[in-house]
Amino acid sequence: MKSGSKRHFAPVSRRAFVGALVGAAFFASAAEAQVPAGYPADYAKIIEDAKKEGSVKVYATTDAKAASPLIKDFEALYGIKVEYNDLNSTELYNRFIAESASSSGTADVTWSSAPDLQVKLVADGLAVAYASPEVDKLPKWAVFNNQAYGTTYEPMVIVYNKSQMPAGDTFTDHTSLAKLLTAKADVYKGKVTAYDPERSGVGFLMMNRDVVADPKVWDLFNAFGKAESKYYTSAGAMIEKVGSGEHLIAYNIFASYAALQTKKNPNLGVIYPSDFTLVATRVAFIPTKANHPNAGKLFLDYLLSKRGQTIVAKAELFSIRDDVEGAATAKAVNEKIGATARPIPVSNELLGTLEQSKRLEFLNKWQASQKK
Amino acid sequence: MPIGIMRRLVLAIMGLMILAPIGIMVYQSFLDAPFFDANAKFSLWAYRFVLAEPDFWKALTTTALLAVGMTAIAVPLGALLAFLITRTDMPGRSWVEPLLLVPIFLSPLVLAFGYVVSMGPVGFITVWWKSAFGSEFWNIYSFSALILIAGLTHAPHVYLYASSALRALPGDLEEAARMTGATPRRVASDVSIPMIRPALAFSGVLIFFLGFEVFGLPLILGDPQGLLVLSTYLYKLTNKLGVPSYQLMAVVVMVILLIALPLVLLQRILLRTAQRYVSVRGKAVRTNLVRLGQWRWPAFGLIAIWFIGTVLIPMMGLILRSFVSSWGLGINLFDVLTLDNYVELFDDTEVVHAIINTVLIATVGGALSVGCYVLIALAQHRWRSGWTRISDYLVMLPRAMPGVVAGLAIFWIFLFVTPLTPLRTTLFAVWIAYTLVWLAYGLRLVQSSLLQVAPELEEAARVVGAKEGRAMRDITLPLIKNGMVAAWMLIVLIFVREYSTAVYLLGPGTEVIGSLVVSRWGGGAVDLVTALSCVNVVLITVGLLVAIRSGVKLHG
Amino acid sequence: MAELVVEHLKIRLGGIEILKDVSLELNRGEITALLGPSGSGKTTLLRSVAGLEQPYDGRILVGGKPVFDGAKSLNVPTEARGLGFVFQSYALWPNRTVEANVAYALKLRGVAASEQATRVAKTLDSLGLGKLGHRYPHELSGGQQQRVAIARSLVYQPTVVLLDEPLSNLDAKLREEARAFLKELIMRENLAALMVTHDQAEALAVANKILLLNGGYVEQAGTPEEMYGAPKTLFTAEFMGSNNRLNGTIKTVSGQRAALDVAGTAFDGMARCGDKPGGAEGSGVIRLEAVHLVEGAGANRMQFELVTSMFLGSHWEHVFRGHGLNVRAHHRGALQPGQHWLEFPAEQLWIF
Repeated sequence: MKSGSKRHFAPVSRRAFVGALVGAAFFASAAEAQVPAGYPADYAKIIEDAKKEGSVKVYATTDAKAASPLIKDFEALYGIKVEYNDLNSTELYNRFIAESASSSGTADVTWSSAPDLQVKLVADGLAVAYASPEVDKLPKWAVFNNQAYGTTYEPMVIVYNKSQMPAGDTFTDHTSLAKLLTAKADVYKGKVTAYDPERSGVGFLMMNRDVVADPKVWDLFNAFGKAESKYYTSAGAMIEKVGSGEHLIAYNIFASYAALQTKKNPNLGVIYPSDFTLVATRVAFIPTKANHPNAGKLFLDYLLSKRGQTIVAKAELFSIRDDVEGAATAKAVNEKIGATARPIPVSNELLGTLEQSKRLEFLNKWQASQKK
Repeated sequence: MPIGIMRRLVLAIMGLMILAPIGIMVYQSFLDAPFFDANAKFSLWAYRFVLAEPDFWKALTTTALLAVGMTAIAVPLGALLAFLITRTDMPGRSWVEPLLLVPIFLSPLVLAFGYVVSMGPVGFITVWWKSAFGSEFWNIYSFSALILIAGLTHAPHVYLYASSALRALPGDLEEAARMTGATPRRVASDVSIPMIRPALAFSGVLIFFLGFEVFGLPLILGDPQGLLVLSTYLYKLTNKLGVPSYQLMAVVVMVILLIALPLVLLQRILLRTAQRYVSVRGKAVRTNLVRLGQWRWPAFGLIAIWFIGTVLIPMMGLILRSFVSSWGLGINLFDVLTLDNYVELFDDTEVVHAIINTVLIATVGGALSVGCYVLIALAQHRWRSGWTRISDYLVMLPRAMPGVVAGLAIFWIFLFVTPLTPLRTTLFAVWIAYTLVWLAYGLRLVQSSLLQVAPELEEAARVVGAKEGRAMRDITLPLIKNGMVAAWMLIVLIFVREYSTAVYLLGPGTEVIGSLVVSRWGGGAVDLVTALSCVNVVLITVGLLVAIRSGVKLHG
Repeated sequence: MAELVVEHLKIRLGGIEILKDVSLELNRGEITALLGPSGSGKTTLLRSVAGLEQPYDGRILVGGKPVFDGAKSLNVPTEARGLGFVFQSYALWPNRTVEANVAYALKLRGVAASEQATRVAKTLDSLGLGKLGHRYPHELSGGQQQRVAIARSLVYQPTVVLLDEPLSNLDAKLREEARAFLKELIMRENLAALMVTHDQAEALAVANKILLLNGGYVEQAGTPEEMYGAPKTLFTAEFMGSNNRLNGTIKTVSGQRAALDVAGTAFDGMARCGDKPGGAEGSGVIRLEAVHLVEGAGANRMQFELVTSMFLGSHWEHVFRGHGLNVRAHHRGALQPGQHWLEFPAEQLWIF
């Protein structure tokens, strides 16, 4: 569950970018630390209290390195220190529920790429209700009870090795990939990889959502089985092996990660499936046991704000806001895949995927699909 | 404070530190919800669930096979390496030693990845072999390859214990065997190796335990086949249920403990006969090397093969990967050569922090840990008592928990035991966790030094008027100085790699290389991980060489 | 009162009864040798006196003060007993110089540094180690190491010194010199010395008194002359000195005398067999030097064949065989091979 739920960040763009930001933030900190435009007037109270709290503790699955421009900008903006804890989603969950049960309090914001676990924590009553002033700028599916907020817009793509694919073999969507693998199962034997839904939480969630988006996707899973596909728990291993030619196709990879890798290895190609493309989002909320709830609110609002989302986009984490420009934004993605986007909603719906009986049912069906 | 009270106090603290995380796990295994959940009720559900799981039994069998297999490979191999390097005139033995220890401090995850790059289906060795001889005869993703690699890479642990035991043997035993006509091989198998049986028994049990704990190797090498060992099974279990289920983890730990306890017992029995083998009295005996004669170069060849297979091949893969942006079929390596991975590495403040923290926790922390181990060893030293016996049983237990679970248990203790709470996010907590899980390992290093101190040296101090504690301080401690330095060096190596037990205690300001490697690997930053690992290997190997050249001995 | 008193000491180690009931008294200016076969408990007794082993019953008094009393659960720790102890291996601390080894006891007693130096120098001088103070133990010869060990145990002027086989690690020539040196030193310093040895010759030479231990009990105690010349038991007789043993049947016992039948020949000897009835199995024991070579048959005489001869410098030891017996005898001169008559004088033949 740990793997693939973290994002990596290109160093060169980051360095240049941080420089620009530090400059911008320098005069900003004095002038702009006031109530952001469009926020209610009483927001000044939150800012004031947050400053008294002095720091904000964030539990996140996003690499500290990728998040560092965000952190630096936030610190420059409000003069509030960010204690950023870079964890995997299981670690985050374990740490969070234990701390919530203890007397010592927990993080002020959690920000995880496992939306199902985040929704469960909210449903268990561990998140405060807080209507962010930014709520109107977010798609409806990304807001859960004014408690949890989707913060990114990350398509799930298919990565393949352009130079090693047999000549003439192409696919554009789930159906054509299924056809290709079924027809040439021998050629693709052991050449396809995906997250293992049995061992990886991300893998399970994504395949489960695939089925919700289009039940015909079972044909593809059957084709995976026929081609004796290899299942991993880590995106790094999958892409590394597609890049080296050990495998040819990696299924359901976060676009942000794929984009980064294609830059390093020009042999890698990326396909946004044209029938439907899942879109994942990193979910943030403020815990009830937050020690610094006001700083938490400030950070959450910042993360959702245009300023924060612009940095999210620059960090290639894919901004969820329509009003942010750039390649890694909802706007750019929607221009590419338009109506075929299938965002994974931050909602009670996800609780269903955590139900043991439903999980086992799905996994049994999955196992059956893998029988040769 | 009277020495008897001191002894009891030290051992009681140690016992508490060991039993607290295990106690939590025992308690948790009988609940139906997390123990900190107000609604948690007593239940045997977790036992019923786990024991009815076919995957659990599959993972258990695989793990047991892996543990047995790697022990069966590592123990004889480690003993042989130790014999050749410490007791014979084999060429090149002095510079081989620091390199031999690479698998101890290199993250197994990285080591395994090195194998993938060199000997995986499209690894550069495989590709070369294919072009020269046709299809390759190996498959590094097979279970037998996993056992072999695990065995090979754990041999250095055995080597450490075996070699220090061998160095303590008087050379005349081997000379006597040569006189009666034994070949070097017979000397090793009939005289030297049997004499160090206690050390081998100990390291055998330790390796077996490590076998239950291995995570990195099966994660990388077993991933493509979906190979399940207990530590990866825990992930699968979590995933099946959607959320982590501690009672189920706890049951798995209970099963491992049930397997571990009789082993510890067995080890005690084996060690009890150790007295028979203590042939060293007081000062070290000058040892004469066994002359290998015509076997010199074959022996060298044997070590070379092990070295190539265990260190060189994965290291070559790793080094290669760290200097390219991509690799594999259809890629001309000269086109993709780059230093970017290293530039990126030192551009990353987290990496720099991690390196500083690791150096700090390994050197300073390692020294403090050895200090604790010495304290415990002295508390047990020459004390025939139930306390000593029980504490001997206990020390192995923390190692019997898979690292992630131990990490969780230790985190709970720091969270729910109020006096410890302020320490939770400091390097100190990380240090305690490390010290605890490597207790058996480090304590044994210290104990074997203490075993070599002849009792009459301490008694002489008592007779002339020193109290027990004073005699330990004035006589015993100075005599094991070399042993403590050696133990410290080895603990440094172990701590450089360790992280899993402290995984929940790490945070901003306490990141270490071990955790960074795993977390960056999880994030897919293969370039950075390989570059970092190469830097790691260079730093430590150079450090070791400098230390050894400047007179520090790896063996007390 | 005696400087060291041990009363009814009993000790068990690892579940095995080592000392079952041992008592002894030791005065200043006296050397008592603890003698006995291995496993007889002599080292255990010594270590119990030092407090290095804990008995479960009995009493030990040093200078009139009890340091162990089983009945009162009194057990004064080793360091507070103030005894000197010389270890078999010398147990010199290898990481300390000779001076530091010797000075340690003074340092523990809080003696001022300057006085430490004088007393250490004096002690080293008196043992002939004056110039070796700065050396490390491994730079010394065996004899020198032994002296350092003694110096270390005497520097704080204990009245009782315990010596655990102090001479066994020396080669034969040094050992004989060391015996004399040790005896003279102990007399000069007026110490009470308890010395463990397994070598009866050493015990005879050095000690004023010998305590022979056997199976956890005192087999016999007495002066060296008594132990050698008037053994009360077969065990003592055999343990002390070099002996011939003649196995046979007791014929008669009358008062001081007894008669033993050995391979059909009757021997008269000193009765040591209590009230064994006639016909019981008996053994005659006689020292090698008491056996005489004689011409022709007579009372207490038997004929043997010479098997081999060993020249021992001052005399010869001849080995004879016959009548199912091996007999050794000391004699001034060499002998021709063949049959010889040996006499076993009745006054020196003990019959057990």
